[in-house]
Amino acid sequence: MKLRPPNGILALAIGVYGAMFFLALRTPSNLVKTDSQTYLLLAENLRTHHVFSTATTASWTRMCTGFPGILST
Amino acid sequence: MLTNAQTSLYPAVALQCLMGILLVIVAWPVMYRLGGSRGAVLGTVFLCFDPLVVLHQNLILTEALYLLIFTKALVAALLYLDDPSLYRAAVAGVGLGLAALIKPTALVVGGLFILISFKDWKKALWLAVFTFSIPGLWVVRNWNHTGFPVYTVQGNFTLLQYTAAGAMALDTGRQREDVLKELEAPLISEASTTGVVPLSLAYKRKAVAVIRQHSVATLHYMAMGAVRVLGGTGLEMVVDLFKSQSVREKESLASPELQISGSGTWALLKAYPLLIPLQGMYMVFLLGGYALFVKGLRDLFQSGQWRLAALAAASVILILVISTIPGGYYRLRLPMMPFLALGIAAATRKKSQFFIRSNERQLH
Repeated sequence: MKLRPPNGILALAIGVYGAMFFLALRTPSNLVKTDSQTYLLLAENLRTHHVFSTATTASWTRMCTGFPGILST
Repeated sequence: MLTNAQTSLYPAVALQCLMGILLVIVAWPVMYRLGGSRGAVLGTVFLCFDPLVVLHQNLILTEALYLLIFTKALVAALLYLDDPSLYRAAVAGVGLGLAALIKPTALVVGGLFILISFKDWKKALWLAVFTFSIPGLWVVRNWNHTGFPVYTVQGNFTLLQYTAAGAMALDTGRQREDVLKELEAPLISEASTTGVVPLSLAYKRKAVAVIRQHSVATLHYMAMGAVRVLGGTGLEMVVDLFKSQSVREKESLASPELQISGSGTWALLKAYPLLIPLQGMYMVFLLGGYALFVKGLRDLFQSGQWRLAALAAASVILILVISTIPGGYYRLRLPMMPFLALGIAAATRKKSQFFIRSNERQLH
């Protein structure tokens, strides 16, 4: 069984995803979508208050309604 | 001018783009085994270079991480079924468990894997232990905080906010947002006196009542969602790539269609006619992929690998149905991509090598 993809496919992947990274550098404001704001808030609360929460005030209610991957409503 | 907050996102974006490259490396061996070199190229290209997959790779969203973890778990689970070992059970189970923490649909796939491995109860037991260990801990954590052993209650809210409100809106000719305000008003007034789990159950009860009352419109709403999931192209993301401000934010006020239809394909094509050939090419790519997937399933059935075919078909159908609950959105197609790619890889070969070993063992 061939475990490694051919060089052509690998080169294509490096080219495509490298280009996506450089395009992201060009338009950084578009990296953050509606759901991203929830994820960034969750990450910030985890980092600074060690709580998985979307709260913005000191109550830091733990989020039990869903996981990071669910579309925010 | 870039803000610190924006530049601090670059490492995350770089990591996600790296995940896109890793996806090729992770997916290739199983595609090769299933479809030979031609099938591996087709399957890998469909999975790793689908424009929707590529366009999500540099966004601060969970799609890139989910797709990599889920594909790795899927590959390990297939190899485990073919040639079981504790290591493969652990990689498959823990991977599916982690993926289920990102999107609960992965848990459904984990359940399907356990079902098809039931021929050998030990095989099924190990896979179940590893698959449910991480989601189980999440349930314990939620039990500790809410007093209820729940995995997530998001689905109960979504059922009212999208499916029920959408169906009622279709039947009454009103906007979903207006219907939702009306439906939520009595529930929100109770929210301060009740916890999140009882509140979610109240949402679910209300949603079920509305859905029963508007059952035909619910089917209509879900059918529209399924079309969006299967055919949505995310054209605004293409436009976003080359614009300084998100096209959705910039133009949603001027064009209400962008807000109403989710992807707003027609409004975008009208605003940017240059996208029309791109949209056409993508539809050909998608339809070709679906046709090959169906052919791959048929070939797998005919070559006696019905368990693999049933797993791929059931996974795609279940993910599609679950995706229609929040109204269907092109991004929700991504969890079914690895299964579509497996079918596409299988379509190029009449007799793939999967499960051959176990079949041979049974023959002798």
